[in-house]
Amino acid sequence: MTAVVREIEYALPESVLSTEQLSVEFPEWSVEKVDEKTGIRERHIALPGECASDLGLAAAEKLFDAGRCPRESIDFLLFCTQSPDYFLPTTACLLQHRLELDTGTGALDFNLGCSGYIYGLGLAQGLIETGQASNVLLITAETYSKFIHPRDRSVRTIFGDAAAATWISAAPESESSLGPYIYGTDGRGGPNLMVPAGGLRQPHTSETARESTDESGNVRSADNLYMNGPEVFAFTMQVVPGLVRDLLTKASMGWDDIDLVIFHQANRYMLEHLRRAIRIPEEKFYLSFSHCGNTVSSTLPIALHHAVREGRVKEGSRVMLVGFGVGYSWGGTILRWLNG
Amino acid sequence: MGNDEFLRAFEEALEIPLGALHGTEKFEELEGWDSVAMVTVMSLVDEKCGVQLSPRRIAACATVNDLYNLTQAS
Repeated sequence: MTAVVREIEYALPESVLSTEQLSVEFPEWSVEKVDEKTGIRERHIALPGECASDLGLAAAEKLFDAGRCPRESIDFLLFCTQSPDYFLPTTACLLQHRLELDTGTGALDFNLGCSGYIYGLGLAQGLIETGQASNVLLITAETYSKFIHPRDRSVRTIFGDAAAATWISAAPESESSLGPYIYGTDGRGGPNLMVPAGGLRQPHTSETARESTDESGNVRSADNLYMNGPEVFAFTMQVVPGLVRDLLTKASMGWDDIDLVIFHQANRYMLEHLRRAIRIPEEKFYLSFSHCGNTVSSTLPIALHHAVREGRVKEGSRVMLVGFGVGYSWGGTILRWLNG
Repeated sequence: MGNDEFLRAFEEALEIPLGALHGTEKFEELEGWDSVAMVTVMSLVDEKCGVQLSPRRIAACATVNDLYNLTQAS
């Protein structure tokens, strides 16, 4: 049996933060400047009490409502998040119950950010192609907004909350529709994209809540998300071109063999730089994030969902998927869209 | 890439009036010099000079001319 990605749905919180609203709060940044640098028009922000698991639940229910993925067929749930409900229990276990999945369902959380979808596909494929599962529900869900200080425009302009649900099932095809994969990790970059406090290494205290202002005028405390934009940009320049080259080599493919390229939808400026540096044909480079921002592990499935809806990905299309970011962690694969 | 050409590209990338820079300006005195401007310069140097500079190396440059000299030496 081989693993096939069958369907993707996603859910966004109702509450919207528009670029117009941001430019009122940060008058030194015009709508045009934010749009030029980020390519983001709107970000959806979870309400207080609205968790990543709630968004994941909504995305999965949409998938079931679409009618092709029977709820009772799911026998493994993979939940990718860095904003879980609790330290314990595992959010995936709570979601098994809330989604009314069979108690014979395996369920686990894994903690990755922008590379998470690639790792999720790899895990799902491993489970299916070794006969451990037949229908995997992969949910990516994130609410970074809850970590973001309202006066930190460096991250507030970029990140949006979202969840995506992907159904991956076993099929009798002889040739695998996923892979090869390239994975990579460099934990030295950990401090450059981080929420320093709130875990067990540095629990929340009045000290960690103390706010400071950086040289760009952004305000945050150790309880908030911190991103060193220039360092993260340098990391992507160093790693992503090699990742793409290695993936094409491993697959014995060239650009003629790839129908569409979808990178983690980080922000327009970074993506355009990478596209030019790697010389990816512009017509094959797909972007879909202006309506939701950088949704971390959900950018790839959201973009793939839209590419399929728009007819940019058709039956048999080969799509290169590349994720990179927090960790640092990165991964890439090539997916053959077989919707059957 | 010559120094003049570099200065004009730098001005264009950072939306500084064309011809305004002489190269002796200090980064910290450039209007709007922040992390976004730093990323813009990293991208510029990579594309125009084929050099990938780390944020630390750029931050160690006092003036725009120092940055130009760094791209020539790298």
